[in-house]
Amino acid sequence: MFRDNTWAQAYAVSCLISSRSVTYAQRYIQLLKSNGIRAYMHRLPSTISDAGCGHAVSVGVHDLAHAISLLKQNRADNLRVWCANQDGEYEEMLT
Amino acid sequence: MTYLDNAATTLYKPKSVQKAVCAALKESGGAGRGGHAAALRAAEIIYGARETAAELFRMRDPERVIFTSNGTHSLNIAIKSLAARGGRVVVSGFEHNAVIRPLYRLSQEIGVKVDVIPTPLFEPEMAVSLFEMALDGDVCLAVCTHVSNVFGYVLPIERIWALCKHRGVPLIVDAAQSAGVLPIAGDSGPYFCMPGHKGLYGPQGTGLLLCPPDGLILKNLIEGGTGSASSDSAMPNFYPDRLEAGTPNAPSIAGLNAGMRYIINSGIPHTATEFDLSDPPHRKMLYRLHCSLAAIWGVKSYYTDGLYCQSGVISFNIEGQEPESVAARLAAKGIAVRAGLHCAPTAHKTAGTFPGGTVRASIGAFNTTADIRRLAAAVRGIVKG
Repeated sequence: MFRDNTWAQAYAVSCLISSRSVTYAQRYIQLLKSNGIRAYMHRLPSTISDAGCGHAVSVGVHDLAHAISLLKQNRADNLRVWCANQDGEYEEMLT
Repeated sequence: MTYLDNAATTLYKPKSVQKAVCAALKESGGAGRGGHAAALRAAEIIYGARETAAELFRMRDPERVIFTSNGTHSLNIAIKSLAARGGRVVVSGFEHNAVIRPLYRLSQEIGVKVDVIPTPLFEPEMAVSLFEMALDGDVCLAVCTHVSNVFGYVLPIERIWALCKHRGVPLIVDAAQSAGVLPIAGDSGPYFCMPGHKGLYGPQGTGLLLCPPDGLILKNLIEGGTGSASSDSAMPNFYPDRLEAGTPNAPSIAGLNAGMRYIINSGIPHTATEFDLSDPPHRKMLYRLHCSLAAIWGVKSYYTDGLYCQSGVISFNIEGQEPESVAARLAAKGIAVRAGLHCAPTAHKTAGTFPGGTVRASIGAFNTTADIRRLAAAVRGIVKG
């Protein structure tokens, strides 16, 4: 079941935006940082990666909506977003 | 040493290149291969170089900058992706073996037909006319060098690309001698292939392939790990991963980044608007070298007064003397030039200097007029015996 931003604001503690590769993750980070959003690179946890090795960009819950909007405006295709709750369980978000 | 072999490789690099390589050697893990600090640092270094290349070559998307081992590697990827089975490929009369040999192999294996257009030396108008005539029905690909590595002849690639675009033919530009020297617009349509160790002042073992925004997805020559989509047995279908299998050469790419940054910061023109057609880089030094050589009895130098027609490379011959022996005598005097066919027999056949070849002097950012005087004096000494 996909979660929405209201759920994230209420329950999530961290968010991951997946990227095709390390290059795209770097591109996303540059874009987000240049717009005042703190973003960091992570390996995608195997529990949520369905394609093997992958990279993701973490952003704060409060920046998530703005971050997704910026990425979409800048040709970031097929974005998938996960947010972790306090138990560390990831839920996929509607984008 | 008086180093005038910059068309082969630039020996003298900016200090920032050495520093960047050494720093990256100490701090780079496997880019894309881990989430620890060293892997992330390597990823930052490599992406930083992609961004610098995109800035230098005016590209919107850094991910369409592909890092390769050298210019030859880039050309092999592009040529072997775009030449169609049984199709005809047209090339200029000044191509390097990095173009001719992959095409020869394709002619043997998949029946590609190669047309070498006899574009005369220093006649860009004629080159455009001949390309226009050659680009007919069954042509699947055109390949053109931007600057001849033997004669410094600048071919009119913008006009050749306009012809190719009109006919729907992809164009590969061998930018081995122009990258870092002449303006290149990576998003303009052709595929640009270049080494990192010449005019970009990076280390050897680096190259770039600039893929246009609306181009075909090129084929990978090798398969392997990319740090992405690992559960798929096929290579990723997106750039740069598709064409960058295996651990990237982060220390050398860091050096290449510093070299490209040097080009941008030193004021060497990299955009068409900054480029004064009457005064291309190295032009004054080239003119001085030509005048010095032409004044020596028995020396023929290959030079043109045509504006925007010759880069910082000049070939010459001494009457009655083998180019290789001239170069050897210059080397004994501490002057580095290159002689022979320069891996470009096609260019020598076109210009009428085959099979003997020429002696080639090529200017870089760290040459001075004193180097030119030293070469001229040494040539004078050789002529006098």
